[in-house]
Amino acid sequence: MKVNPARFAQMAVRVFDVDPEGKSESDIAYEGIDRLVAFWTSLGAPTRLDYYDIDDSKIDVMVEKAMVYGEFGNFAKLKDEDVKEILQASL
Amino acid sequence: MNAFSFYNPVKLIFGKGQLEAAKKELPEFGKKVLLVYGGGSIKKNGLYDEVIQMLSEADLEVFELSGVEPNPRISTARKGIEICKKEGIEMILAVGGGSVIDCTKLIACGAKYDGDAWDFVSRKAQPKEALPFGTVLTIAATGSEMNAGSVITNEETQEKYGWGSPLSFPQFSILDPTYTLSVPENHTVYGIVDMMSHIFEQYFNDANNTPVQDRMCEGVLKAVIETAPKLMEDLQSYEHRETILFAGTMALNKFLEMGYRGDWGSHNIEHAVSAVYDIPHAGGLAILFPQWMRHNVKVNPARFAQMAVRVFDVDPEGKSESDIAYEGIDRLVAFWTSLGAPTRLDYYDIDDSKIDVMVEKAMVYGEFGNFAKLKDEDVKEILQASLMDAP
Repeated sequence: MKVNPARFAQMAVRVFDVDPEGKSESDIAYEGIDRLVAFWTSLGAPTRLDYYDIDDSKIDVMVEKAMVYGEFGNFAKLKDEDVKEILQASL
Repeated sequence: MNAFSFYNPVKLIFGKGQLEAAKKELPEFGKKVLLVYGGGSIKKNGLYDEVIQMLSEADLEVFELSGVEPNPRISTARKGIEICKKEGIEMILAVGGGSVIDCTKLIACGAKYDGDAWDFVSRKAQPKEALPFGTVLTIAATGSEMNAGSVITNEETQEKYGWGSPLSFPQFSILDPTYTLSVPENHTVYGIVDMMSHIFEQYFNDANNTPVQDRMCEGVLKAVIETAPKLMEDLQSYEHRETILFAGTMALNKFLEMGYRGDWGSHNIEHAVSAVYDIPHAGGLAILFPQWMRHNVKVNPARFAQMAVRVFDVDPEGKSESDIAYEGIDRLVAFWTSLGAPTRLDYYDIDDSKIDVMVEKAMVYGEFGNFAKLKDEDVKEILQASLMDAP
């Protein structure tokens, strides 16, 4: 989100109908992401890796696999510590 | 949605410096190229020299057809066809706007046909073979660079019709926003009106359940409405030219028109008007389309209200569907007026003296329009409402 809060805020307002009134760009952005999760949850999609019995035991293996061609991502360039953080937050 | 198949083989080559790509594309078709262009604006802005340079670096033998009119004429296409046949032209490069490209489409098909090319426009014959052609676009407007459609005027008979064939798609189109920087204010406005009109024609269609298409149409319209005033403030803005150029292509490359048939009735009426009076196509649309809308709110008020709310930000609170609809149309007119587009036929010194002729031309293939089926009395009413400001 920190890469471009305005972009996330635009999505929040335009796609998820977040009311931007009196909120900071990053608050709007996070609210939009929360609404996305709520929407997917309402459809019955999983929200945590835990759902598939995945714990932190193989995080380093997964990070290594993700990094096999080096840093990646065209909007946000991710390093191994980024991937690790995202995986940990998903547990 | 209606059942549909989608086909668009045009290679779209977009961005700064992309003219270079033509050097690779063209030689695949042979050696002899016919360069088709319009009234010489490309000579003033330097594009002509760049193209000639590119063609010589590609080692091609160049023949030229210049002077394609804003409403391209059958006589000009015939001249091009004659050159193709006489010189053994193997490919065509159109450098210009929709008129140059439309004319090139007919030349490409006519060059491989023994009869008169008007047969294709009048639907007497279908092309069986065509020369390959590419385009270098110089104005954002018609979308012709990425579709198979073409509109040709027969100046002798005062007829103007659209036609198309699977063989009239460009092989490639080069869109460099740089070449649109010098488009003057009035033509910039016409282009914007034209692309918006294309989306309206599709938004009002013959199908139900098109939520994805609706949002795509509304999205492109919104982007144009947001960008146009900024572009009018700064005609030299590469960024805004880029947005408008891309919007014009997306408006009519059939990506939006999947699963339904757009109405296209306003275009039919406009072609009848500009066949008689030779006015700019988009000038005619700016005048006629809002009147077509007002005439047809009754067909499906909810549809017009949806557009009013989603595209023109009309507040629906406490209003009837048709009030919302009319408010949306008023906002469209206000928007086009703010850009400097005409609102009445009076602007082009058109009075009621030839209304019956125009009605007759519009009705030549019978009742028309896929959203609202128009009879001659409907066309007459729309034309009359377009003449001058309501008292």
